[in-house]
Amino acid sequence: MVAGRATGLTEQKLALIGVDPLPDGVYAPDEAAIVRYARASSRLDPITDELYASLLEHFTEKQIIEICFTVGMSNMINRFHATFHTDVDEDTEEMLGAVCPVRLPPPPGGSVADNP
Amino acid sequence: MPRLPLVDPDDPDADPHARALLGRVQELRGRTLNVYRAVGNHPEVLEGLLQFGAAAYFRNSLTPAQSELAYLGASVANDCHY
Repeated sequence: MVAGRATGLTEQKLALIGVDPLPDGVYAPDEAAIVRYARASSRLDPITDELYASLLEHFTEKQIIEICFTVGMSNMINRFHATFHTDVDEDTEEMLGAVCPVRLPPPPGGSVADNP
Repeated sequence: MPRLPLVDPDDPDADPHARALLGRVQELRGRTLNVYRAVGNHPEVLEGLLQFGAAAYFRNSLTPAQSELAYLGASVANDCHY
């Protein structure tokens, strides 16, 4: 989330990234294509011709490889954290501030109240 | 409760390979996130991850916002706590 803010993504774009279906009019078409692909790939849903075409509309094949492997790296790191219950860095939490735009899941072994 | 100790790059008893890699991360990114310190328990894997991450995420031809939407979109879909 800290990285997302640093790239200039708005609070609205960060807050709605988990909303399914993705709301219209919030993300630029290239951004929406990435988010829809990232979700489908992470959930192991089929990557349909329509979904792939939406990427091709905005990105070169080389860029689609970059998107594919960035999503893959995220999946790998996500599984790492799920396995080893890595603590979130204190300075990251400080940088995030009191309000996180995305509702976080509870930390491993914790409760929802730990991440309001 | 984390299941792995975090490698301290300033600990003289830590694996020298891991310390060198974490020192490089500190130099490049300005800080050493827990994810790198945790993976540092396997320095060879950390080295590969850093190379792969550089090619796929940090030095790609996308805008930083596009890269982050790919990374974050996946993390949120996976309900990742980190």
